[in-house]
Amino acid sequence: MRETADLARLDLSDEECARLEPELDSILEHFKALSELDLEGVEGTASVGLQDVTRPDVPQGSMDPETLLARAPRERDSHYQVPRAVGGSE
Amino acid sequence: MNAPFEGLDATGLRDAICAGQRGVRETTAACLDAIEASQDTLGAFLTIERESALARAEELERSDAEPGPLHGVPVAIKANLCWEGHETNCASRLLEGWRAPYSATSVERLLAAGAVPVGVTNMDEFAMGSSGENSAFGPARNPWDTTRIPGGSSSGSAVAVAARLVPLALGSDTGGSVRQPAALCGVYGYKPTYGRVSRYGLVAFGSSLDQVSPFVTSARDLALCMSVIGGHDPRDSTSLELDAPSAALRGEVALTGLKVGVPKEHFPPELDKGTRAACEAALARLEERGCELVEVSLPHASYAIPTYYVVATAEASSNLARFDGVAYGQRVDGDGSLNSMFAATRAAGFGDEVKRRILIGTYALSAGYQDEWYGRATRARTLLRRDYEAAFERCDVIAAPTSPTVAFPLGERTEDPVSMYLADILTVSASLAGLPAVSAPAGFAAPADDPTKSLPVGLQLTGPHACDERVIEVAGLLESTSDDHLKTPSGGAA
Repeated sequence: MRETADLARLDLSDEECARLEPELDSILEHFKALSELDLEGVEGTASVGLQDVTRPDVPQGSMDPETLLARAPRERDSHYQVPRAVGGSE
Repeated sequence: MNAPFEGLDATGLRDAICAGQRGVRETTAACLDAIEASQDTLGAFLTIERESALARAEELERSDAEPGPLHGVPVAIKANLCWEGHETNCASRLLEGWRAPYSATSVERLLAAGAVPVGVTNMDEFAMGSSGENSAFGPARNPWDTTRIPGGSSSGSAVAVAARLVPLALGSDTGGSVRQPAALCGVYGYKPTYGRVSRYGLVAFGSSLDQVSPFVTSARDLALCMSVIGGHDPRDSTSLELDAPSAALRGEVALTGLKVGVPKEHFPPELDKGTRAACEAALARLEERGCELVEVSLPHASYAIPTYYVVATAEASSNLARFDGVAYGQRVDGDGSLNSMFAATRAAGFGDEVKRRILIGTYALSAGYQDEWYGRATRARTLLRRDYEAAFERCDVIAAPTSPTVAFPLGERTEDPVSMYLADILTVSASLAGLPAVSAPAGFAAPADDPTKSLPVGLQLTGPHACDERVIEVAGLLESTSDDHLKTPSGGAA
């Protein structure tokens, strides 16, 4: 449970883990029905009715960066501002 | 409450406005008043956009341009569809206050057709839920009985149309999120063929399943709305290279001799008695009008729920990775590291159901489990698609109940996620197969918990891939056999 939460980038409290774990167990138990199916030789369907789409390699206009940055929790010098990725604080 | 447009459908309202029988501003103001008066009882809207709606109404009245197909028609937009300058928060704390920097293609097309958006509707957070109860801002309530759920996830849009607060609202349907609330609220809800309406500007949940989908009160409005929002969009690479469906219904003549397939697996023993009776009566009326009923089989139907929930949660776990406190909405700092900021933001911003689904999807895609879960589910999806292909060799459309029950009481299933997931048992198959499907009003039935009540039932009509017009036309035929679609709830505005 903790491992999956870490992969999902969810900082769950002990209380949440205790509550969610039995719920997830019962959901996965219900989903185990899929193991009954004989799927030998059956190709997967990731999506329906799609084909490869290409377009000419021509630059197109994009949205004004300031419009997007104005909607971010924090920005500095026309960039998103986040904590330092290596070695602690910003 | 007074009806802001006397219960007219969108087509009728547009005609009345174009004939000079009523003004755009007057209609818009009446809608806004009715919405505001309904909020305490129904909670259909997250934001009511009075100022921008009235400004747009005035602009439309002053304009000399040829009136569009939705000229002056008030519409509501689900909170996961971008509408430039308006809050698109997906009913999540994480996106509270976030205003869309652009409009979704479907919203743009409504605007270009002359519609007047009046507000943003309530929903289950990030479209995850079947009751509307997963909204971070409180549930919307069913106008037929405000102690009951309206269905979900497009709860507010369904309520807004059912209560005749607006004649048309957009929702999104991933596994039934428009069809199921349409059934429980007694209106039309239409999920187009996957790719028939652009997903550009729809906040992604399950990308191989999501479709922008309308709620309306008549079959002719389904055709009108699809002719406006449908059609290819180069900004969505999954949108089909097909024109928008036709705006006109061909009528009954073209449907004589139509074969209506009835899948026995979608009439299971546990189906509510009243729902079964109402759907069987609707089928009998189609038969009286010259349709032929044929029994068909969808042998893998019982695997649809696990298949759907594994695929949808896997896609959701990936799609929702972008909500990490960097570019959107709210941020929680954590212990100062980047990873801790991500995890703390997501833990504080997402509600329980979103966390559950992200965890299931992450697990189903994680190393060592991916083939067992996601891989098996995509192959089971192939079997479900083949079931439909075989069934459509014997019939033109498939008819079955939309929901196994009528609206259930608020709170009844919130403690038991599996029972909530089973509410989608009859809608997820068409989603997995990418097929067009409508929920059409099909009478009323008493809920199992209270025989004194009478609540709406929906009949789901599903068509072959890209046969959207046919599905809408059969809905029109069914409509002509009763006045179920004209009945309105006492809790509403009509």
